[in-house]
Amino acid sequence: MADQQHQDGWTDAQANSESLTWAKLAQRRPAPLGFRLIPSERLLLHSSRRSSAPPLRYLTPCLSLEDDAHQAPVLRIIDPSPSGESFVSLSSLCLLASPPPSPMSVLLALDLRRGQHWETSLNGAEPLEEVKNGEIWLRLGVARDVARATGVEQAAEAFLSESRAWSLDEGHEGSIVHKWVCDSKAGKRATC
Amino acid sequence: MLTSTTPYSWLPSNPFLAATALSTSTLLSHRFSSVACIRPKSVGASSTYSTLISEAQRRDLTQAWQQQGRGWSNVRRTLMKWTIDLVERIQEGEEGQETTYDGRQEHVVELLLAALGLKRCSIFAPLQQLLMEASSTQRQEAQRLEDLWRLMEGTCALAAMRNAPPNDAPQQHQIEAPSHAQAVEAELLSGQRRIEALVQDLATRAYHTEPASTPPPRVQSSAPHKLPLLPRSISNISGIQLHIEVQSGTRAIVVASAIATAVFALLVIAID
Repeated sequence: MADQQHQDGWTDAQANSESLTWAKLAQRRPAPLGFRLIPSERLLLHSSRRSSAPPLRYLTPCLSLEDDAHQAPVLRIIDPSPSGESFVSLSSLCLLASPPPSPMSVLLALDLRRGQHWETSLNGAEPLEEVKNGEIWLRLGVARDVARATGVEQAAEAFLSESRAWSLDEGHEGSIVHKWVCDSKAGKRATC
Repeated sequence: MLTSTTPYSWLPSNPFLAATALSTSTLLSHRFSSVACIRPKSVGASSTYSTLISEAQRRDLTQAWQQQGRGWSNVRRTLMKWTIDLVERIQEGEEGQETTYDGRQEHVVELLLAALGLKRCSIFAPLQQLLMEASSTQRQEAQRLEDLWRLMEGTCALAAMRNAPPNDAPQQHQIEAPSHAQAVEAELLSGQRRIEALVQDLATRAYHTEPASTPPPRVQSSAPHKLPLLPRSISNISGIQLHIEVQSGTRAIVVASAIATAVFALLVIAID
């Protein structure tokens, strides 16, 4: 049967071919990056606010990997204060994979150990909400290995790149300092 | 660079695949028919889980997820703490040791049921009992925890798909809209089936870890004890049925040969 001609001049075959191409392109597209400032566990001292008001907190700068399919973004802490390196949230990184492995299976399969490969506390630099929910923070290099093992390396390539980007909330100084040196390859693919 | 290590190879590498290979209704009927004919004692458990599944089917899980956001946060937090604790215990070389039931399983299940909108109901106590029976070793504890992660993530994925914005394909090709909606609905259905299968597996695996003091089944079959706890395989179901059929066939042959022998003996006596 001949393809039905639509008003805009496209046939069904053309439209299907176009949608397939678009779907393939969408699959290959890296997940968009974002930048977030999230209240941390560290309290901001010398606050002039009333004692009854909730305490002010330092803000933790994070790169976030937004995924339409999941509401929880993958976070990469770029605050240099913990130990001068980036940390990535494991549970949301797992959700990028299809099917998603559980954090437990990732930790056991790759034999990741606390202190050496991951932390649960970053001296108060971790976002407050993640502290409440409980989160495992992978060192950046380990996060890349996990992404490779779970098949999300391509989608998270820019997010997990070695770009030396850090931001710092200076607290009572009232300013946030950024020093970002983005990798050229990542810069082309991501909207930092 | 890290490489995958083998000490924990019993963990599932692709947990959703086995559960999605067969439709849930077929899965349930096969498993329960096989189990029930071997051990009548399991009929109670099967009806319990049938109730749970039908309840879950009746309710909109994604709506429950949205309404119980705090509940899901509690589930996630509890699972994460449990995960950290168990992983460190296993990595410290305690694998294979007995694990003590400390009420954590009960807590997680209670949170899960609440988040699913089921809350405390008549199925809670049997579910708790089955979980306690199935968590006698760290390996079984890990399996249970893995199940709970998958149950939570599967439900969250359903909710996220329901909330996902429409495909951002070029606007001039409106022909994509219905196909996208159909794809989402198909995925929702598939996800719901996965959840049903996961809940069902809780019952099936817990059943297979009953104490050895249970009376032997009427039809002697070693197949249930050979079922690997992880990963699950649909072929196991066929294995049970095939085994029973072979046993039935063998029994028929034995009976037929006995009858033939008796008739032959009678003929010999008559001729004499």
